[in-house]
Amino acid sequence: MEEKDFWIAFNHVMGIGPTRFQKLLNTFGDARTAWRAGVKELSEVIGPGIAQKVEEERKKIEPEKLREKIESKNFKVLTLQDDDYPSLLRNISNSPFLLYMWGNLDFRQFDFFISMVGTRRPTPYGRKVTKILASELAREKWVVVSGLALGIDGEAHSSVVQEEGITVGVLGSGLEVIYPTSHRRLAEEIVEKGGAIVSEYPPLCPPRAENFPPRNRIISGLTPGVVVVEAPKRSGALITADFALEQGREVMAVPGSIFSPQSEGTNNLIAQGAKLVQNKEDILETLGFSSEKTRKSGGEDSHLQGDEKELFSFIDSSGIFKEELLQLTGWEEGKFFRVLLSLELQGLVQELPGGKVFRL
Amino acid sequence: MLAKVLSATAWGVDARLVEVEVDVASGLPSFQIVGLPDTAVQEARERVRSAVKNSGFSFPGGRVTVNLAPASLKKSGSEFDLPIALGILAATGQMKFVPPSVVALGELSLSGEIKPIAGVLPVAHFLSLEGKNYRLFLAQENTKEGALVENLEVYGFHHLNEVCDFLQDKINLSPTTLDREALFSAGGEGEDLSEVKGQRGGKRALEIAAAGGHHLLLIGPPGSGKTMLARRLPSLLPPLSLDEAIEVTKIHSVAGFLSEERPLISQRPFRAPHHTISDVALIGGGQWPRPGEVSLAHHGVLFLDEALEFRRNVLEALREPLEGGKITVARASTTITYPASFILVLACNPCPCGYLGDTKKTCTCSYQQIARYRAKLSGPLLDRIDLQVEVPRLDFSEIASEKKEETSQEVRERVKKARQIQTERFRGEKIHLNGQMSARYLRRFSPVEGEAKKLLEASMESLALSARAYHRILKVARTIADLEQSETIQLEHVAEAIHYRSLDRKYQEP
Ligand SMILES: [Zn+2]
Repeated sequence: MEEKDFWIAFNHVMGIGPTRFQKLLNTFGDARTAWRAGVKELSEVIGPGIAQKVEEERKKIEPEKLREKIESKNFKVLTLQDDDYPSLLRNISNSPFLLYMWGNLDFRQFDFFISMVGTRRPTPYGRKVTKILASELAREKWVVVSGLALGIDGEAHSSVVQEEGITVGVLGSGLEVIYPTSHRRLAEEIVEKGGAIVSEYPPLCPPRAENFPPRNRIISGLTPGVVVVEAPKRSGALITADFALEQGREVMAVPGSIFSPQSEGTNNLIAQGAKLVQNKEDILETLGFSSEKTRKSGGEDSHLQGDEKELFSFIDSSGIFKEELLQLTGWEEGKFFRVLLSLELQGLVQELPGGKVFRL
Repeated sequence: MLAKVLSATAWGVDARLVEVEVDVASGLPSFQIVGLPDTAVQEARERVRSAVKNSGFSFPGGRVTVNLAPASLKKSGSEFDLPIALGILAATGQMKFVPPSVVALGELSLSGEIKPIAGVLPVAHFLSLEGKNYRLFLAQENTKEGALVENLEVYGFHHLNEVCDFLQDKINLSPTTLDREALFSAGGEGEDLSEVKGQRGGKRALEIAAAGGHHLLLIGPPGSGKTMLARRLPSLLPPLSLDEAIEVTKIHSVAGFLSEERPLISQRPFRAPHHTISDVALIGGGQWPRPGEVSLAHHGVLFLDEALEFRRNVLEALREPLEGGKITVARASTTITYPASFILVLACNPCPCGYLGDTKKTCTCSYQQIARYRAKLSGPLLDRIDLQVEVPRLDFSEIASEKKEETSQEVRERVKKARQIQTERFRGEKIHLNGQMSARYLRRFSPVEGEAKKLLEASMESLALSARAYHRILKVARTIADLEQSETIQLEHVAEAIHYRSLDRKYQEP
């Protein structure tokens, strides 16, 4: 039996996190010895409650078989002792002592990592920004890390996949419990394109709510910087930004309309000193890479003329009701819908359920 | 001795004559009624026996046999009390014979009073068309309803005694007269469109629905005014003609919904059944098939608020009237058909929590939840809905307070012109409104060419509109063009029609 088998075994005991596991290693030297230690000895290190849990689990767990079972599912296990454990993640204060990985990604072969996170309910604007940034970064061989959640996370992953790029999804559940389930296919695509899905939780661990904040420390921990695209107040994406600050990583945010609740958190981040992101170059610069400036923020309507220009000027990224637009323009329905449809067909604005039109 | 009295019964919105034969013979006392269902016989016997006795007559001691012919006609019962009682009195010589020109209908109370019944107007209409100078004897409360038709003498009575006295020339009565033109025009104004502030998009959709006879779905948060808008749709439709009013009134007569104060329904009906309604109550039926809400809404508007709350089979039942403008209700041995041609207005929330598109409260639904909810909406029934409109909840005090709102009358003028164009277009065809056009009609009457066609095709692709949306867009574009008195379908008409397919669009999802 290998030492690694016992790391995996300990990971399957609820309550054994990076801190307690480190104490065990410090006391017993290695996991194998700790696994075989008496309950009384264990109690002194990790407290009687958890020690009792270890005692219960080790009656059920056969470490070698457990590893074989996990490997039979084509999951890799990266422990802090392994060379292929992501080096940036090793440097944070409470690195996961192991990561389960689905996919054939070797972190050592890549130099550029970036996290992109945001709300599960983005506006079309947030979605579009994510798509542009993630695609451009993917084309330049950046590895984009995110949380596989709905909304911005999903958009970031799928944009990279479309560019045949590498992306990493960090789960708050086990690898066999992809959450949300609607992203199962996306996860498969990520792996097919050479990326990976990783988790510090055992493969069958359900998506517990308390798993998600700690999960965010891995997202920021895997990369030198985090880009928050859209985040309302009290968004999980802001927790990721907090971790990034603690870990000494760069925090960047995409500004939004002051009327858009989805940009409240990101605009606040910028107010507090986060780097304002208008394009890919802003991200590269923040991370210390010089880049040729080819700024093109906000100039998309320059070719518009007349009625189209007028209508477009009323539509912003936080959305406006068609009803209001009709009032603002004072146009007849026929003209109004002709011009609006033209803007929509040009991909400049988008309608969403509820009757609002958004600038893209 | 044998006596015969004529009566009649409503049959759908039509009617049939019923011959009431009474035979009184000597023998052990008995009272048989043939031709009524068993359940009704017992009750009728008790009422007639008591009414006769309590009116100062004697009930015959021998064998009384009543036959309601034709036997094949299934009858419901209480309206034959009066003719049965008259027959017994004539057969026992307590009164002279009842002339064959008299048709009597009415329920009797135990004291001999004559009570109103449902379904008088179809009978009266039928008798007037027969042209045989019938005289219709009714309860006083039913006489206005009976007098709505021309060429028929209608007499109203309060009590069995009064009928006997009249038949024996002891009292003089004149037939009921009614100024039905006055009654018809005295309908009064309903709720007016100008009472709704703002909601320009919703109002515009109502106008198009009224002009082309299109069914409509209003999607909006609670308090956005969906019901308020729907209630005003009848006021945008051309007024009922007198013939249409009589047709509508007949249906309400059979349902027993007419009152003495309001014998003629001259306004287009607005029916809004609650979502707990049964399919029988919605489409009609029962032991003696009554018209359901779909028929009560005939020539008017059927409004289903919270459409998703209705039971699936109830909504499915709407397919037949939506396709054929009528509904056939099966009865034990035969079937009855009621007209059921209406504009259907459905209303529902925009999302599971209800607050999508609300400016005051924030929607808490995920894209997935919204997509699933909307998929549920686009079930089979939605195939029949041409207009889907989002009705947001806006604060109109800010943007529309100064604006003068258009009245129903102003909109109705445009609707009328658009309908005239359609009448011309469909002359000699089986349909008369754009909303009824099938794909075949659309190819003939609603061609799109040039720029309009290009726009439609480009939109189909980039908005990922479903195939079924294509025909709906053409239909609605035709009506929008008619409202503008434009012979050809222009770019603007197509662009606006596309806007009314909000459920057919493929919205971007994560
Ligand atoms: Zn909602």
